[in-house]
Amino acid sequence: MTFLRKRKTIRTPRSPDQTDQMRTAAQEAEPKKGQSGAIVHSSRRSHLKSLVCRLEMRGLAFPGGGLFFWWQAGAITGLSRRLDLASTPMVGASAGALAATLAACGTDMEEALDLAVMLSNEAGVFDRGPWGLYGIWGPIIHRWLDELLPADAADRCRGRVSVLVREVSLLKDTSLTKPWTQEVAVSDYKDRGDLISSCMASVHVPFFLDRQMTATFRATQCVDGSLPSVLPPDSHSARTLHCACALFSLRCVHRVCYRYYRG
Amino acid sequence: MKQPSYLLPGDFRSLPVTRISPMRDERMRKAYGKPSDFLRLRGEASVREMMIWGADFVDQGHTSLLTEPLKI
Repeated sequence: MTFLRKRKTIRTPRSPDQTDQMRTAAQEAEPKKGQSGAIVHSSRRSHLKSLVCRLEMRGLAFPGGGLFFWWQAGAITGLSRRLDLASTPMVGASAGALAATLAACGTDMEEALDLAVMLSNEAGVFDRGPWGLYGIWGPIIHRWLDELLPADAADRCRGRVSVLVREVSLLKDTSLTKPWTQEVAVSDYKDRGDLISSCMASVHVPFFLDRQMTATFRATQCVDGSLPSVLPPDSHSARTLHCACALFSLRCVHRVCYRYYRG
Repeated sequence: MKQPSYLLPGDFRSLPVTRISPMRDERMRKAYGKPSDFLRLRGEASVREMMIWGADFVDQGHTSLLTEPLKI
């Protein structure tokens, strides 16, 4: 650049404005030095940057955990200081689906907690004892998500956040050769409402959320995406036994809670 | 401690995945050992405590691969 500048000076005398323009152009065209001292042009540098980011990128998986969601919320707060969560791919099931979705949308978890406490107080959750969430948790989560998620939440999560739901075959469709439940990863959200519906399907602990066995998502019946124990094993007899045990235990939980909060 | 990567959305399926699980935290395992604890309310204070533990878990570098900032 020094050589070019000298040539220009010899040919035509320039005004102060021209000098400034040339200096700016020279600074823009100046190659930048990399960390190792090698000269790397800006286009090459950006390519390397994307490559290294890609290599260092990891996916985050948030398993289900009910109220343990709040531990994940704290972890997200810590991770957000170190990682660019707006570009990190994630997968989540049940409460983990909520964690992944809120993390991808850049939600302030302290704000989320304050809102959750306010909604819980409105519903009288804390006055109902240790099982105070039974039967009313679903509507609370729905309203909480609706207030927290930004308008472009679906765009932020589409293709980057997988929400795991467990599709349940209806009794009439069930056969010995077809799985009773099937894990499905959803990441093609049509809009914000679709994203919220997928989250609600993923957190649907049968009976506990809203006293219903399943949640409806895209015209299919779904339950909590983190219920792997209900997944049918290989043999038919073992599958039948697993399904029966799962249904029996869920029915027992439902009966206990229903008696506790009848009326 | 890893989740199958095929569960990530299409373009990211080849990436390694780190599981952010509360059961990796010893304090959580001690405080919430019963199977029903994930649905059992203990009040607002315990929820706030969980959040602090979660942030603290990351700050202590238990997920060391994740705690390093992205370079360049």
